Amino acid sequence: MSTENQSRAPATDHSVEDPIIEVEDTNVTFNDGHTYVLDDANVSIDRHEVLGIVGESGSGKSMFASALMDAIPDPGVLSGKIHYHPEDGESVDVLELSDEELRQFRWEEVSMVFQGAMSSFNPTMKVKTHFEETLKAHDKSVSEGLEFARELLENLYLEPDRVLDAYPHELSGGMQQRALIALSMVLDPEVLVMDEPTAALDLLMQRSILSLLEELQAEYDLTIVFITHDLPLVASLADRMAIIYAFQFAEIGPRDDIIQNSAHPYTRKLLNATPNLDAPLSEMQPIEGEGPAPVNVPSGCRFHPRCELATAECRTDDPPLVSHDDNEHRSACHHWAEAREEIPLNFGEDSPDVGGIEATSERETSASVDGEEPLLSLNDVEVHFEEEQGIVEQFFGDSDTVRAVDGVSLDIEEQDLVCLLGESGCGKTTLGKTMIGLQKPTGGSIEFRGQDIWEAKRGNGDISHEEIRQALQIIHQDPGSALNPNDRVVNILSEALRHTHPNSDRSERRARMRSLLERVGMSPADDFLDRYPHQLSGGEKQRVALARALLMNPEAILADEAISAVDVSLRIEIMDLMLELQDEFETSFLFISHDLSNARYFAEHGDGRIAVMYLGEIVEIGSAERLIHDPRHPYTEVLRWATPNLDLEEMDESGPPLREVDVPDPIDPPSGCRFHTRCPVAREACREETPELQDIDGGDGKAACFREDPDHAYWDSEPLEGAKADPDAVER
Amino acid sequence: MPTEDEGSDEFDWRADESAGEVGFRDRLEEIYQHSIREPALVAWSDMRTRIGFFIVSFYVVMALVDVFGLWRNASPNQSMHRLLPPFQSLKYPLGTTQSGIDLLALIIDSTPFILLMVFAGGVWATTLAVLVGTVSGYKGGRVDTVITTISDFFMAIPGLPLVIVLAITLSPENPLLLGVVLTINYWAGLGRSIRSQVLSIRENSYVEASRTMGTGTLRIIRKDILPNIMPYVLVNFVKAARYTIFASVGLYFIGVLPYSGQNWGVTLNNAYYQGGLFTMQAVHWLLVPIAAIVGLAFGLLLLSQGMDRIFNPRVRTRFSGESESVEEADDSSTGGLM
Amino acid sequence: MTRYEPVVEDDTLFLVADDADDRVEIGAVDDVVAAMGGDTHPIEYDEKQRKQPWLDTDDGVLDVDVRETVTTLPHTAETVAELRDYDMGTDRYGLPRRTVEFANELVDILEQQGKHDPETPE
Repeated sequence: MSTENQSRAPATDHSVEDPIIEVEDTNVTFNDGHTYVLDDANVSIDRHEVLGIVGESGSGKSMFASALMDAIPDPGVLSGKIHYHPEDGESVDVLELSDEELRQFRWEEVSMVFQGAMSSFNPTMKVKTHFEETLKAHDKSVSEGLEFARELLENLYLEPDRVLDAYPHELSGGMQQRALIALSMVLDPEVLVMDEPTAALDLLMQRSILSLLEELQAEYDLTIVFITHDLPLVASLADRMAIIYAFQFAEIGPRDDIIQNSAHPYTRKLLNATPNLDAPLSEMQPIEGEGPAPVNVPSGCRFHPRCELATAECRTDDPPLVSHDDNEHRSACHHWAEAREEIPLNFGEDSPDVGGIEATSERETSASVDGEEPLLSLNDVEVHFEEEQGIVEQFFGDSDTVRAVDGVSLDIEEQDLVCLLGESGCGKTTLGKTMIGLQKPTGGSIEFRGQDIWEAKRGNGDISHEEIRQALQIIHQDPGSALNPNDRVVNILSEALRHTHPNSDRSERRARMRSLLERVGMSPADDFLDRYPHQLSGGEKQRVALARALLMNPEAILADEAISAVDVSLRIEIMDLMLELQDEFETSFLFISHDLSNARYFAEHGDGRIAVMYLGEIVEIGSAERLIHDPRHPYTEVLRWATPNLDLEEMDESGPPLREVDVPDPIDPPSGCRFHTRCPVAREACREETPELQDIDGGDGKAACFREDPDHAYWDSEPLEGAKADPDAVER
Repeated sequence: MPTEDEGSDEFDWRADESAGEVGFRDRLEEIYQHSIREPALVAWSDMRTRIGFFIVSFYVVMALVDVFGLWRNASPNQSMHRLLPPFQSLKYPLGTTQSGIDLLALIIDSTPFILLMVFAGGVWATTLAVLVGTVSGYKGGRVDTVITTISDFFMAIPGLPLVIVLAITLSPENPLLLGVVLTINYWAGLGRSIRSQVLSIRENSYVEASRTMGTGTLRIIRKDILPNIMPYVLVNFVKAARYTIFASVGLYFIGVLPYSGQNWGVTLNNAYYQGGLFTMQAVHWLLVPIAAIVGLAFGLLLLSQGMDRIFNPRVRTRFSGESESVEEADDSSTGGLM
Repeated sequence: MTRYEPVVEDDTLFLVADDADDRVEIGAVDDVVAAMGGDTHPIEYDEKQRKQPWLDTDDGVLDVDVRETVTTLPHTAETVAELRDYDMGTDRYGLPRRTVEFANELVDILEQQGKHDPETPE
């Protein structure tokens, strides 16, 4: 298959003027050359560019990263040519290097930060020793190298002394990842290969690291190859982008061209499937189907089974990766012109549903005014976790308390929709579980239609505990553990019916399950009913979990990051399904998410609100439109900044609007406004006084920031160290 | 609770086909398929189960032979040959003892007693341990503290001396009682390790989902927790059973337990004190009961190892020929608990 | 950051604060080593990880000398505070509770590194 390709494909990528690496006809094969996991790569990397490479998991993108360092794991076989052209000196073919030359080439010329790197530390050595060992292994001066390391760490918003003196396990994930970036740069390499370096981190941390990378790249004249599954993430950083599909490069070109004028149906569909803040909601579309496995690659164009433009030609002939417009933008599609016409991109134009703002704000006011009893009412709810402790500390009252939720008041109406948004560790899951009565609050009260839930549990209430229990359901984050692996789907769903329809007979139950499964898109339902969870895909498991929750006839469902474990291309489909079912079942939905674009999708489609949480408190709440276009709390602004965005004009923004990248320890939260340690516009007043959540002028919802009050002492107090003196500078 | 009619109104996309065609027979058929035939086939497909099953059946057959009196009872001087080596005569295939007792008859005579005792020991130890471990692990809090303290107490008592004391005071001659006495504090340790497994299973989202639906504690334990620890429980049932055999043989051997007739341990004891260890002529007298003991223990072990496949949903589906999932990667299923 | 350094006196391990007179008894060094499962703890790195320049291993396996780690690796004040909550009673594990919890903590630290196989069902 691949020999055929080579004869037709153009030999090399000549689109780059001053390449630092030229990859020619490079393949990675397994099984004695029968299975291709990287097929005929012909790509050049320009000196000092950032090349973003995007592909789904299992598309061969990591193989490309490893190939650049000639570090393909056994038993993979790398063949082809990879030329490295140093700025001064002889060009070399990486694949021809001797072992010793290769050892020097890696890390000194090309270094890499990869996904599993966070667990590649030596746990018994301080971070400093890692730097020293690295320098020694490459015969570099340790003292000079450490100087450089300090500089790098500082540039990465880390305290050099503290980090160098720490052991790896004493650092948070975000800090470890930044220390690794510094480690990979301490030998001053020319090229930095990043293979999903941030996938395990929070969205905000990912974006922060990316913007720090951008600064490093400019300062040290780096060439960066950034490989990810997350298109919008890398789009903000990249000069050029490449798309890998099924072990082949499908498209490559300047970033703006790829985003605005891509010529491959897969790229266009991928762009349209990405939830982002700019696309009109109605046009976000999932991509049907899945990428192929290496043993099962379709003939002809590999994308044809998932492409509606595919013709007979696509099924037999593999399209070459060539330029169609005589420029450096190359794509592998027979029907590139049709693709551009037939698959319109859904972002970039102005969002047509601006009218939504008014609608929501109206609804907002009506909900709070008409005095109807809310479905759920939280009143100054606190959840504090005491760390397990011995008698001595209890006696002296010197205990560590994690304030997971601290003084939250919130009303959920009937058929309401609320998204809780925040970084991990901000208490959103705890608050969610408290709302549905799974977590007992340590302070405050939570009422279901006016009945205190925990009173009802003790047996003194007008509404029985069973009724409340049944009314509040949950869909978990990880579909893998949400279903009992030992039960067939039929038994899993029957459990819910046992509660809601205790008298129904077996056949009636089965009929109900069958129809609901078909409703959530799982047909033939009979086939699915008899399966075990391990026979379902992640998306199917999540559908079963949704069906189980719905069979309880709930009044409210908590969806705890319920789509983050689902494949990106399927997320919109699941979100749509949830929204439709909310309508049909007349239930309220509580969504928990760390991703503003997902929260926006829900809140805007479902006509709901987004509540932004920070360290156990709600700092801002309002409609999605208002939060996105007119964020009042600086933290909301930060989340807005961290959200994937395909708008080219907004992409080249500066660094994170934060003074500190890392979240403070929730055991000892900052005084006053908890955000003051990171807030770019914090002043003395913020350190001393705690802002209340209050109504805002000229918009719906509430915010907890002194800047909403024009007469507040804030305006007269001194900016904190590092904060901007002129707060208007950050206002939009 | 809504009645049927109310409920069905809300399912306006309810299935179009008329319900109620699944008859009683079909239901029985399905129960048979899913609960009996499939597990049996899965277990049988494993060589270990088959061998284990044959070995254990062999002992059951021996017990039946004794119950129905198909082989002569053991009695002194039934053979004129003393210390006849095994495989020498068809009449006394396993040879005879010094007092001319047929060794085969000796072994067969004690089989029903031993099987009952082993069964009682295994059931007692594992049932109690499962009960204690699941309740304490799942409920947590005060219940856990109380149960843990009690089992700490039992774990702190040295096992063997306690059993010896009990054996001397109670002089249990009933095999069931004897089984219980021998494993009197076996449950404590096992309960503790089951508890720790339950602690981690409890963290699974599906347990929380069941709790959210309002499912009761006992049902959650039965449906969500027990199936996940069953392989472990089975293995430990066998361990407890083997412990019972070895303990009984040991105690008979040192003469703590009342000699009620013959039994493998007693035989060993006799053989030992009458010189089985020192003369080659008597060596079979020792070896035959040892073989009987080891054989049963081995059979039980094989059986349990094979049986744990029944509780693995992956093996079950593979075996019943259903489609296997595409997703092998995200499989962090419960098997890994062990 | 206050660290607690391990100090061994008569084969008993203490954690001692480096800037104050605070010390916690952990237990016999031999007990800690036994609870951690022996004198060496292998950390296996996958093929990518083992190419990191600071990892100098031939086969990708780093054999951590447990005894050395126990007696040299300092700990944070939080860890020590947690350990202090456990007493030295032996009824739970047969070894002092605090000794066992300390060993668990160390094993956790070591196990954060190295390759993480997708859990293999037994």
